[in-house]
Amino acid sequence: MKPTRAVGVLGYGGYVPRFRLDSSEVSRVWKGDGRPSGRSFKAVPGPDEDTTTIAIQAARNAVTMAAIDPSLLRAVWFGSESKPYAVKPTSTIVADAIGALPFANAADWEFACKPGTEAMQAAVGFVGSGMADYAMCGGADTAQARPGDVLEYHTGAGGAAFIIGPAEECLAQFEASTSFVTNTPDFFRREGQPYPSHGQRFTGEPAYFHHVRSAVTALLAELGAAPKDFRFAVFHQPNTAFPLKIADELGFARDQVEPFVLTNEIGNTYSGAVLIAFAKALDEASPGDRILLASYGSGAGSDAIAFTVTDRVAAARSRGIPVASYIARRREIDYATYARYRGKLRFG
Amino acid sequence: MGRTRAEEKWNWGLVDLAVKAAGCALDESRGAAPTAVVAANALGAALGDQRNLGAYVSSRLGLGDVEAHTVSTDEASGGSALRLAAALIEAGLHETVLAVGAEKTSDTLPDELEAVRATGLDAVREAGFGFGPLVASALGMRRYLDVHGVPRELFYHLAETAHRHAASNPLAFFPWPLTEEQYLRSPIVAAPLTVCDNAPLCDGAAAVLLRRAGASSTGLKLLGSSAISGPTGIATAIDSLALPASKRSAADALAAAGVRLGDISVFDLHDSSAFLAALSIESIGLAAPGSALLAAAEGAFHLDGRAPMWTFGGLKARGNAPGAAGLYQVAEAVLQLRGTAKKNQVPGARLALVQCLGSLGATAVTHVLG
Repeated sequence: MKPTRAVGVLGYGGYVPRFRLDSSEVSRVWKGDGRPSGRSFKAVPGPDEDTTTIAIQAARNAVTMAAIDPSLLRAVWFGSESKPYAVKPTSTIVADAIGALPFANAADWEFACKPGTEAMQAAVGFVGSGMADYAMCGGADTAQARPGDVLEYHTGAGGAAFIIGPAEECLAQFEASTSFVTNTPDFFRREGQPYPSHGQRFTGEPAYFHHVRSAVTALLAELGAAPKDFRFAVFHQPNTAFPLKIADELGFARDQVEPFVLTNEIGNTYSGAVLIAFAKALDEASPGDRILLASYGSGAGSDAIAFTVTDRVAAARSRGIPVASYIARRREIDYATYARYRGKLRFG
Repeated sequence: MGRTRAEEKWNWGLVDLAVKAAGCALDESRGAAPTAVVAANALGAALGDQRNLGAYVSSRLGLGDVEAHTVSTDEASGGSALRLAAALIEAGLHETVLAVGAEKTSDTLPDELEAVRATGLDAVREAGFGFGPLVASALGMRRYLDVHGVPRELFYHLAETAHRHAASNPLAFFPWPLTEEQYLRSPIVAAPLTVCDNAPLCDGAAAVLLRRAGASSTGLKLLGSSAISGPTGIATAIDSLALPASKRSAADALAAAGVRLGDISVFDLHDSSAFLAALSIESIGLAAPGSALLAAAEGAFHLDGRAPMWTFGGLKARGNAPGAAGLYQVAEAVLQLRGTAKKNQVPGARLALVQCLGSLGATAVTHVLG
């Protein structure tokens, strides 16, 4: 899928909270057998942070990098599976915080871990059709898991925002995207439930692998491209094994993929995952590099999107905050503090 | 006979699996269609899946008005189905009967699956207190190690044998060999039982078509069978480290077939756990008490050993679809006896003995084919 008008990314920003929980803490508390791993951590939001604050910080970083008047944004579209209100858009709060209102479309998106790339495609369409010159899209989450559940090892927090605008002003031009979606109930959370249900082994081949494989294969066919044509490939990363396995299977080399698998540093940031990793790829790319990203959302679907980096990237980055600096900014906490910060303790 | 690949068949349901295996069996047979169907399924009713499976399989196969029953003796269901199918023929009620076993486990999460499997043990005194086959096998393994004083690592050779054979079985769930290092690194499920001491549950179906043997029949024959249900209670098996039903059923089946244990070319015993595998081997007389593991380590159960066992991977590596287990055993024995087992062929295989167990060995069904 391509728009009729050439568009691209004008600015982007990530945000990751500073606190880190060693995943072995989950084993220690629930299974009695965790020695500190020192190698697998997840980002934990502080007591005054939530999806909205994360999204606002990422959005501010994106606006600063794009160096545009935020009131020119005609859309502010954030995706999350942990937005604070069931009814009341996070996107309006973000839009207000960055000065995009009142003449903007603001709505929240949901597709498990991939609403951010859905919103990105919509923003591409919005600008690409000529309806707007600038549109913001993003994803942010403060993912929750049932205490002691296998998901708890990696449920992280973080987000990223992207401003889409005319290709003449962009640091990375949109090439094409493909969405592959089925109705597959591999992971879900009902209204009012605090924690999601997941299908364990069903979330593997019939879910993640089938959809990512199908979307990427279709996009490569549409572009007439091969894995080696890309400098970097960014895959959704619920753990470190899945993205590396699908990358191997599709024919990508480890060095195209591994630097952008951040699950052992910050956990799975759900709606933020692919976008934060894409932001890191843009932080490290050079003009002319092609970048492929493939998100995955349970329910289920995958968006595969390709960009080409332009020679505006260095100047843009000079106005940004590298994702690596958020990853490096860290303070380790224990399970008790994490339980307190994440509101898992019942008071009466 | 027919069988499906043992796997997580996400897109197929219980009836689909059964129909597929049954269809294969019907396709490769010549002659009249069956007028009776005995279906086997261990867990479906408890999982909320299709009950009266036999009726639904018969209907999907377009068999018309048939006599259809569904049998459930825990993990011995497949063996029971075949024995009852044979009995319908021997009783003179039918000429051709289809036995088809199937299980659908991949729609249920592991914890619930184990809780349902537990109701194959004493529902009040065992399952009711959280004892399922995994925990029972773990306790049994602990006792086996204490009483027989064998090194823990020796249990590896049971899984090694199964995986060695599954590596050349394209229909196996785990078609790869298992190294000792992989075995020793295997996570504990319930101490001392590890993942590699336990057969994986999966989706699968197997079917065998039986026909009355005429005077001039040259095909494979069901030479003898026996189904024994003895004292129940996991304490019985764990305390005595013996499976009396397994022993009696094997002896009766051999006697009915008019052959001796030493005449058997190919075996398949119930290796849903390493504990039951070791006890079965000893109970039917293939090794002295406490010696099953040593025998396995010596290669006794390899294709070129003195008692080839689990020649397509057994439950451990071919996969455990509980209701179908006994019929997979027979289907694979048929390949051996026909000489069409390819890389898994035991040269000159003439006689096969297969046994499946339910309720941790309280129920044993044995068939001898040749």
